[in-house]
Amino acid sequence: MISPPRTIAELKERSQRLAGRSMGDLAREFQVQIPQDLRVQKGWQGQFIEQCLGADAGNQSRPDFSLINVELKTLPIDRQGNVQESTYVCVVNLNKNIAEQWRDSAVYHKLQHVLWVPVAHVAGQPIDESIIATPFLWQMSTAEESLLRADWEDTMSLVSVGKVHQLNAKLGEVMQVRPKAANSRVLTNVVDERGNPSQTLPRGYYLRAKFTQSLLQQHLRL
Amino acid sequence: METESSPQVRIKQLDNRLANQIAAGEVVERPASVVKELLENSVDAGANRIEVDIERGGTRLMRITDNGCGIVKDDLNLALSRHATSKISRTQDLAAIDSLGFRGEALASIASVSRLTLTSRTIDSDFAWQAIAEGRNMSVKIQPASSTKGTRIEVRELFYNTPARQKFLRAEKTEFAHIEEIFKRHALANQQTAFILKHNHKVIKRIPATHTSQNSLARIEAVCGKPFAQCAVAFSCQHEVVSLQGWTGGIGYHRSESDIQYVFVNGRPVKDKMLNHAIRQSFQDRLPPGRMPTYVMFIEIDPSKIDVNVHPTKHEIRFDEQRMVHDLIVRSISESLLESDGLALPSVQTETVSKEKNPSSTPSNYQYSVNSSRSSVTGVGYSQASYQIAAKTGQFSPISVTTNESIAGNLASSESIDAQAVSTRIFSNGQSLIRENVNVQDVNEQNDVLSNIIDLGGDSFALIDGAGIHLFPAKLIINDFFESESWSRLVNNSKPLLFPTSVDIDTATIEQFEVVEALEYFGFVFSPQTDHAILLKQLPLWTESLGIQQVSALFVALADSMATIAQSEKFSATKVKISTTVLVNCCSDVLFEYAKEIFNWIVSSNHYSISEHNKSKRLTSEMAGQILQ
Repeated sequence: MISPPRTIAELKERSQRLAGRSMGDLAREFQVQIPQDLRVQKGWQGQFIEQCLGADAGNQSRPDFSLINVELKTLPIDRQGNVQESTYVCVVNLNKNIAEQWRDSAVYHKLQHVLWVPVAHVAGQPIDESIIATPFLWQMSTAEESLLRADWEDTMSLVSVGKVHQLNAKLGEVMQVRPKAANSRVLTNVVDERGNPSQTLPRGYYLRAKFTQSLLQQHLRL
Repeated sequence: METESSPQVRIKQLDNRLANQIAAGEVVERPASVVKELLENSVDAGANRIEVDIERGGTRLMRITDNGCGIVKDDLNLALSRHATSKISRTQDLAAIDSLGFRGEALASIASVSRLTLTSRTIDSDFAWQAIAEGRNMSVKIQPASSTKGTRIEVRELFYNTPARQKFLRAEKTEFAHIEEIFKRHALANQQTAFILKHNHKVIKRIPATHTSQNSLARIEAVCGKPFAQCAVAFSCQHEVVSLQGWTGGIGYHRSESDIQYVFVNGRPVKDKMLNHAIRQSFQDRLPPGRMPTYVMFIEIDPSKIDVNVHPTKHEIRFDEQRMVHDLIVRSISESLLESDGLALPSVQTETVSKEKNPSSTPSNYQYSVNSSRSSVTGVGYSQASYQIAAKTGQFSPISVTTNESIAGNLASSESIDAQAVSTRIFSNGQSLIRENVNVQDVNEQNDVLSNIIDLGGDSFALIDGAGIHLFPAKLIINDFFESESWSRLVNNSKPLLFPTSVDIDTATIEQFEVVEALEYFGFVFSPQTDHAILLKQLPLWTESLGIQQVSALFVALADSMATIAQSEKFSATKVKISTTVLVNCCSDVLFEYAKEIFNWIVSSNHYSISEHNKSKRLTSEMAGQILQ
C-alpha cells in the first residue's frame, strides 16, 4: 500500500514520475497482474493508477485523495493526444434534489480539483503497451464552471419537473447525461411528470470528449 | 352546351362581427368563460363588491355588476371593439403585466356571440350610459341609463347566432357548476372584495369581504368548505423574487377529485403543470393511492419574471426561474407537512389551523443563485489574446526611417502592396502608424499572425494588420522581452509535454550550473536520463509554434552556447552569478534563428505588451535607423 499523499506537491511529484511509463512497466514494479480483457474489468486501469499514487477513498464518495480533496480521473487518449471517450463524473441526482444548488452538487464536488492522468492506448495492442502521458492537476476556470453549471442546471430543471425521460445524450454543451447501469433491470426512484413517485434507469453525467480535449490542449503540449 | 368554369375565388375583408366570432372561438367556450372574462374586468376595475347573477346555467342571462371605476362615456364605443383596452398601452407593458386582462378582445368577442349590454357610470358622472353593439359591423349604440357607480354587463342568449357552439352546451346544472368554479377562484384570489353568486334569483354563495391584508383562512373556509379548513396546514416562504403563502389539506384531507386545488400567481388563478407537479411531489407517497391532495396557494412574484401571454385563457404561465419556484414550493410544503406530522393526526382542530408559520422561521435564508447566462461564455481555453500597441506618439513611433528603399521594395514584392503607399506610410516620420488597442484576434480571424509578419532581413519585422503596416525591431523586442519581468516573473512559463521526450546531449555540458540555470530561465524543464541524454518534460511557451525536433535542437544549441560562455576564462575566474542581461545576450544568436516564431509569440501572447517596451528609452529613432542599416 502506498500512503496517501499529504500535500498537492507530493501528489504532483508522484504523478510526474508516472509520465512516459508503460502500463506493463508499472505493473511489474508494483507486482500486479494486468487483466486480460479490460472491457470486462472496466475500471481496472483507473483503480491501478489510483493505487500507484496512494488514493485512499476506495469506493466511497470521498475524493480519491481524501487528505487533499483531489479526484483522480484517467483519460483514454491515442498517441497523438486525441481523447477517445467521454469521462464519467457521477450519477445524476434523480431524487432528494430539492433546491440543490450547483456548488453543493456532486458534479461540482467531483470536479473541484482533478488530477487528470491521460493514458495512451493503441487499438489492437495489449494493455502492457499503453503509455501513461503527463498527468496534470486541474481546477475549473470561471468560463469552464459556467459551461458545466449551465448543463447541470438544464438537467436539473428537467429532472425536478419529472421529465427524466426527456434527458438524452444530445443535450448538454460540455456534459451529457446517459443511462448508467450494469444492466437495464437496475432501477432508481424518481418523481414522474405528475409528481408521483416512480422508477427509472439510473443516469450518469459524462464530460464530453471535446471538453476534456480542451483541458488537455490547455495543459499539455500535444 | 357550354360548361360553366368555377368562378375565381376572391379575397374579402371579414366584417367585424365575423372576425370577433372567430376570436371568440378561442376565448368564449361556454358560459363560464364569459363569467371569467367579466370577473377579471371587475377585479381590474378595482371593485370591492361584485355580484354575479346567472339564469338557466348562463344560457339565458349572465349579469355581472361591480362597483369599480366604470368606463367614461366616450370610451364605451371602444370598450366593445376589438384590440382596445385600458390595461396596457406599450409593448413594454407586455413584459410585466399586472392586470388580469390585457388582450383587449374579451368584450368584443362576447358581444359578437350574444346580446350584450354594457352599462357604466364613473364616479364623476351624473348618470350612467348604456352601450349595445349591433349589426354586421357591430356599430355601437349609446344611450343614457340609470345605475350606481360601477359597471354592469348583461350577456343574454349566449351563442344565439353560432349554432355550432350551442350544440356543445351541457345541462344547465353542469354549466352553472363551471361558473361556480370560476366564481370560487376569483373569490379566493380577491379577499378584500365581497362576492355574491345567484342562480335563478336564489343566492347560492354570499362571501363577505375580509378586512385584513393577509389571505385569511376564513375566506378559504367559505369557499373550500369546513373540512379543508379544519385540516389545513399553513406554509409560507419569502424569497427575493417570489413569495409563497398557502394551505394544504395536509395528509388528513384529500379527495378523489382534483376539485380543491387552487393556485394563484399575482392574484391570477392558474392551472399550471409545473406548479401542480411541485405540490404533488411534496406529498410524495403520503396520500393513499388514487387520492388527490387539496390546496390553496398564493404566489407573489415580480411580474417581469413571468410570462402570462402564453394562451388566451391565461391558465398557463411561464416562469423565468422555473426550477427555483418549483423547488421552493416542494421544500416549503414538505416542511410544513413534516411539522404537522409531528403535531397530530387528521382530527386536529383549529389549533393546527391557526398555527401560521412565522416568516422568519421559514426558509427565508434559502438563497438561490440566478441561472448564469450561457451566452456570456465564449469557450474554454480561448483567452482573448489581445495586445495593446498604444502608440503614444513619439515615444515609440514604429521606426521612423529616413531612407530605406529596400524595405519598401521588399514589402511590395512579398505582399504585393503598392510600394508607393507603403513607403509613404512607413516614411511618415513622427506619425503613428499603429492603431491603438489593436486586437490580435481580429488579425487572426483574417489570417494567422505569423503569415502577417514579414521578415525584413536585418532584425526587423513588419506586422501587417487591418490598420496598416507596423515596423518593429524584432530582435530588440525579443531581447528586451526575455530580460523583462514579463518573462522572468511569469509563473507558468512552460507547458508539460504530452509524453516526456528524450534528447541526446552530452551530460557534461548539461551538468554545469550556469547551463542548467539558463535553460530553466528560458522555460525548459528536464531531468537527467543517461550519460548521453536528458528527458525533456516541459517546453517554454514561446516555442509553441515550433515542432518538437526544432525545440530539441534549440535546447541543445542553447546549452552549447551557454556552456561555451561559462567555460570562458572570464566567467570561471570571477565566479560571478550571471545576470539576466548577460544570459540573454549570450543566447541571443541562437534565439534569433527563431526570431520570427518568437516575435510572433510575443505579439500574440498577452504576457507582454509591446507598449511596455515602448517606454524603454533605448529605442530612439536614431537607433532604429542604425539597426535597419
